[in-house]
Amino acid sequence: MFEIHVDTPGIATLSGRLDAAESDQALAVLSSQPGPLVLDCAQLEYISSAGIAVIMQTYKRLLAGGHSLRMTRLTPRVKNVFVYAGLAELLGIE
Amino acid sequence: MASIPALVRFVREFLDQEGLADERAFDLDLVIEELFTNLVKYARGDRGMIDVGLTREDVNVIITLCEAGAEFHDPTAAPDVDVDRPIGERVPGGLGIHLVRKLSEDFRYEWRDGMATTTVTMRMKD
Repeated sequence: MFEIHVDTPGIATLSGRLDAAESDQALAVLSSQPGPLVLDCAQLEYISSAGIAVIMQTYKRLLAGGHSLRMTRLTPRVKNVFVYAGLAELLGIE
Repeated sequence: MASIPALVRFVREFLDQEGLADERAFDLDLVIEELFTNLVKYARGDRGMIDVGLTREDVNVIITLCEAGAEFHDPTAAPDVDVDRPIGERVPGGLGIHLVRKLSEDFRYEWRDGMATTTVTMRMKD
């Protein structure tokens, strides 16, 4: 189960499991966001490389338009995946 | 990709049966998903079912993915992602296998008479 909502402009809330089965749904929502964008990941339980690919695609699109993408409130395990991928600093993950 | 929820349930049942903590599920799910999607993406041939197995061996869990009728595609030979390179200079792809390498103790591939077997060993206790 994965959900993504943009209730406040510029803030996307992700929850559940962002895996290869759900990455198209995430991309459909993220590709319509003009940026700058913050991804609130407090309820994101799981992410795989398919989910990371969607986030990086969005990051690059926004960067090309002069905007930023930042990720906040990651759980330790989700954060670990970004650290292993060498992307934590780039995405503003603390 | 419709098989992923079934794989997640399979991992939960295994952990429960082996008395392993649920917190181990994240890494197991990740390694299995990355191996599975890699097989589906890259291995060509007369595609059949992919059998996923989990076995406990002391402090380790052995993951096996077997596919009959697959062409040779060795994920262990994939070049590693250079995570220190700036993002604009990175070659796309390969991140999934990079994560498998990071999380596993051992990562092997065998292809014999059209039967491809990927075996990954993960340590379950620190």
